[in-house]
Amino acid sequence: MAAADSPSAALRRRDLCSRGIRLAGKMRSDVVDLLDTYVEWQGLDASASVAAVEGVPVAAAERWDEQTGTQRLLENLAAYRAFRALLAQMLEEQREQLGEADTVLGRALAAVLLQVSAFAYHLEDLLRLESRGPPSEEGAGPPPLPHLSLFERKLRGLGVLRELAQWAVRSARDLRQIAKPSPGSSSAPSPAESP
Amino acid sequence: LSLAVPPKEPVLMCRSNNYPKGFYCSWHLPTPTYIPNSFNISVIHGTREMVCEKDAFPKNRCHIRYLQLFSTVKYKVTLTVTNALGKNSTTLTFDEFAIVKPDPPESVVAKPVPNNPRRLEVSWQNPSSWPDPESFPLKFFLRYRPLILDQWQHVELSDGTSHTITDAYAGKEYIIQVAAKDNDIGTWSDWSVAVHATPWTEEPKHLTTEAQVTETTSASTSSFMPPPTTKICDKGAVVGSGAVAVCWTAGLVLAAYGVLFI
Repeated sequence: MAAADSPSAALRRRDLCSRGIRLAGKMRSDVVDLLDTYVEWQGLDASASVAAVEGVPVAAAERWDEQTGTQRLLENLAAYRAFRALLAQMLEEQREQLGEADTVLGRALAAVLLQVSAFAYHLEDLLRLESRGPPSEEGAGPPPLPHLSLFERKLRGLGVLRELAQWAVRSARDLRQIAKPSPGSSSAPSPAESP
Repeated sequence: LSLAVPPKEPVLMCRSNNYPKGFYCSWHLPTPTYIPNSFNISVIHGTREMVCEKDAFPKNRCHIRYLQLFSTVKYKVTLTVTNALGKNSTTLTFDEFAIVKPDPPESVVAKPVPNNPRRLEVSWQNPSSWPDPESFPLKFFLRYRPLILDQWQHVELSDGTSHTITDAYAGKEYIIQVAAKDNDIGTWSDWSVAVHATPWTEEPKHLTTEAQVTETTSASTSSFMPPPTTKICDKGAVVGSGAVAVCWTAGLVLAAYGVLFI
């Protein structure tokens, strides 16, 4: 990806990508478990449809195979920074709802929040390796919540977790693409393969 | 002479065996109508209607290209069958990930390992329909059993397209199959075509009951094979009942041969 891809930089990138893929795999597994805990605690139907939620990064991508490595990293980083703020918000709402009680849901949310933060830092490391540096986080917090009923907040949380689970799968795929040896610079698109 | 009838609810199935390229849907009627039927399929993803291109063969199948990946929006596929006497339809709703099911692994080969009576080397290839195993790697599930037993042994393998079985019963013919699944999503493929193999066995040697067995040059690593030298039974080291004196080493040999003939 980098214009001058020294062997040590290529090795470091591959190492970071491998670790990132493992992190994403663990994160996905924990988010899937968290989803089960969340629907149970919130008394929701696991198959409930949730409309697109404002401020939640959508994992769906068109022409995903045509993205450059840098595009992938930037989109991933923006997503996980947003999820970090959204999960912190959900944790806060959970504490308001149930007081300071240490609940299974609260612990699971906190654990996933930690993994999301760690993954975001990992992506920043990858971007630094590409001599790009991560963008600043100004204004990266979640949009102010409109006044939502308790039920609406629960559904919103379901949407957040579902999208996060999808992102975890996408991130592993993105990192595999980035880990592939590339002849060009970071601005060159990866070989276009029709989906 | 059969009476023509309106169509019953059709049976519809959708599957992606070539993720992330797309998926296909296939259908059939549970019972014949005895008159011509026409089929119409619609695929909706969110607000978008997608085109399902009919396959030339088989006729009751069409395929859709994924326009988006990693979507949480479900796909809704509706199949309507119509004939002169009526119509019927069925609808399937599913997530992008839920229908991913690769074809079985191909070119499964199992071979004995020379000088290793308990090993079998198994190798296979990714299904040719899976378009990009480097970016979308598969994991594999191997199952094997000797023909004489019903119980399968299972091994899950997260990478690579080969595996060495190390606990095969010496001299027994094995049946082996492999299945595949995307590393992250979907369900396991059907089992591959079964292959058979028997572990390597040493050439049978004539053993005398008195003299020591001549040392062989081939090394044997299996605990189920007799040791290179067999000591003459020392009555002072008898273990067991008094009627038949069997020394410990010979007893081990006999036990090993006994297991071989189960």
